[in-house]
Amino acid sequence: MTTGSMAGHPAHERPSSQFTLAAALSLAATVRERGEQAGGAPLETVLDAVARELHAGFAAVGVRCYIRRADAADDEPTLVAAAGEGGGPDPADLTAVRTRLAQQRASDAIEVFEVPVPGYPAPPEVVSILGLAGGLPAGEFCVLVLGAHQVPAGGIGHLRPVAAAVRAVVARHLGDGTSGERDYLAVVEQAAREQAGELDRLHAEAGLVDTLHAVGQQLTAQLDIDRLVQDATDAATKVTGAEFGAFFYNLIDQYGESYTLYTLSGAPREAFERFPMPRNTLVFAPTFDGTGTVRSDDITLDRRFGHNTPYQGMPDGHLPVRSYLAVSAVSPTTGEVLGGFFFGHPASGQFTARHEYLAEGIAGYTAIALDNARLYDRERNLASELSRSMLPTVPNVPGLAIRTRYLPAATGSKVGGDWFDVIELRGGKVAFVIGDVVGHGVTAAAVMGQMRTAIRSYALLDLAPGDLLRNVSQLADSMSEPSFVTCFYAVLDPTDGTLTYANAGHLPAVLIHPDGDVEQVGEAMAQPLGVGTDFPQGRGKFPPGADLVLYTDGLVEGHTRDLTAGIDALVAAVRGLRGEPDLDAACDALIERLTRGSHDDDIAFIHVQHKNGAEPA
Amino acid sequence: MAEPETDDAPLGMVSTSAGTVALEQRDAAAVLTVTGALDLALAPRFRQLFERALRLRPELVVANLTGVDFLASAGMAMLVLAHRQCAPPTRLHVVAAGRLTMRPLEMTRLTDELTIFPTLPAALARL
Repeated sequence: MTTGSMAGHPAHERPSSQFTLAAALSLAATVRERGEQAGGAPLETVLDAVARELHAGFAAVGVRCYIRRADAADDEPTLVAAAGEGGGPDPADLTAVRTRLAQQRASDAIEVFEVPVPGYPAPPEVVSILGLAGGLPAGEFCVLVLGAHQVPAGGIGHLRPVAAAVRAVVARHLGDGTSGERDYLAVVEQAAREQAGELDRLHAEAGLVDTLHAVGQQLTAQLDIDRLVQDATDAATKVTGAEFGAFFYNLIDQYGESYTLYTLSGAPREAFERFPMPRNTLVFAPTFDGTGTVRSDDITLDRRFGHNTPYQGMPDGHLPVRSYLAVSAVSPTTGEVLGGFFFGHPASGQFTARHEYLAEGIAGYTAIALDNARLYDRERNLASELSRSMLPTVPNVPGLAIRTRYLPAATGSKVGGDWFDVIELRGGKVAFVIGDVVGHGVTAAAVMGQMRTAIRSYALLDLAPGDLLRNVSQLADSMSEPSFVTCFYAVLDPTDGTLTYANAGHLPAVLIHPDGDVEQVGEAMAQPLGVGTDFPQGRGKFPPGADLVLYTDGLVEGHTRDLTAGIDALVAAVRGLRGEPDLDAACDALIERLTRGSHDDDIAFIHVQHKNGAEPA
Repeated sequence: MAEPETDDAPLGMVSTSAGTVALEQRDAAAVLTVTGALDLALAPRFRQLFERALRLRPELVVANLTGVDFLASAGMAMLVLAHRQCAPPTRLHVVAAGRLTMRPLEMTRLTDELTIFPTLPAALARL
């Protein structure tokens, strides 16, 4: 079997490149040029050259050129020239050409058409037959191109310049060059305009792909759910050309209950706030159930529309919607429907398959981003919840006013290591504990829980501070993960107003004496728990009228602050607490000021006022 | 005694947004130069380079903290681990000066355990 002019090029290689508008324009120009070069040669010679160009240009199996002259005796089309396979006039050709030319006679317009291949006596490699026809000053022409390629959708329309070029060549030969040329130029101009339109469309398409990519990058880098859903809604509303868009999504609250929120784009919130959340009606069900995209040129004509009470369609005052597009955001990890995008337009027929494709793309990215954000929240909340759940209930101790604060790190990754405790011991004594486990997340929170429990247990055994820390340090050292835990442990004995303390590498405590003198106690007494073995003890006065402050490093150090300067600032601030009428508010303000409103580490804080005996707690 | 700096090809470098660690070899010593914040983020990366340093079987590993402006507890925990991981004849020397690094080391009494020098030449001189 021959491959005709396709020698060496398998048919599947570039199946449709010759049917693009650009290729057609170039072929048309070549055909016209051949006609000019042929000058005064006989029509057969001119058309032979044209046929060879078409044969090469279409990579065709064969090309046959027929002409019917109005002045010919038999009124029959005649084969004037041919190129490639199956040269001679074929009876089937004549039938096809006759049929076409009969229609053609009425006008001198050019036509491009396809002749059905099945039943056509053509070589087996012929998969398409193209006809280029047009009126002549006295008759018609028809060129049949037996092709080895399928003509792609839209390809036929691109070939009009080629037909116009053939007509210009023949018309010129027949002495009517002007009209042929004029028509040719008109057709080419039209084609060029289409070409420009197509380029615009391609640019627009490339722009949309860019948009989708950029939106995807932006969304998947976002961990803040509120911002992410708004960004997604804005982007999707923009690329679909919707008048307005909304995204309804489900979140789980702290009690495990699901609730629905929504974002809007292109419409003010007032436009919807009077309406209830959309229910799982026939129109909305596919989106909320994740069973597929719904796209409608006019949703009010959809058979699913308007079946539900009380509104039987859209409630009064709803923004008008004809064109409707709704896409689900489905979690790629759990398959759960995370939310639904809804787009509306007051005119019908606004949303195309391309809009649907883009909306689905953005919904896909949104689902991934929501998954990420939820996982992040879960990790952060778990550590934070764990830490909070292990916070003690501070006992009400007569003679003492105790204020405690625990603030998990503002950025989730560092939550979990700090704790405080207040323990009532025998004989009216009270133990104050503050500590910090190095590390973050659930692991640090779990170690902290063990430390806290161990310290509580030893404290209730009435171990002296130094002994207590030594025992806990041994325990810390025996844990599977190497640990590094700083801890300040202090016991107030109200009977003699003394404070006995030991410090495992923790920050010093701040003691404000009744006379207002501020003293830092317990600095650099011992190594952290899990590192040190020897924990000496200190003892000082903590009489009624004195205050004690314990804290963790989140309050005094950070990437932008030197520890020494931080401690100095704290000491100054603690001094200022004296005489504050509302100590609760003053403690909050102190933390706020020292952290400048943002802290990237946990903060634990205890403030103890040893009241004068007569004063109530 | 130390080779000119130009001869010391860095054997590794790790960094975070706030700090870096670089490893280079100087004679029989492996020097880890830390700059910026030795914090929770940088500590595990320091650990990686420290272990690479140990594989060079140096007599001395130096952790040069001269360029550290924030020594978090995570960084100190890692220094203790590194110190305890050094088996004879390998030793760990820490270079630290100034309160940004010394105050935290003193407060945790790691000064009792770690061998600390004020300058890199001093740390290397004890090779």
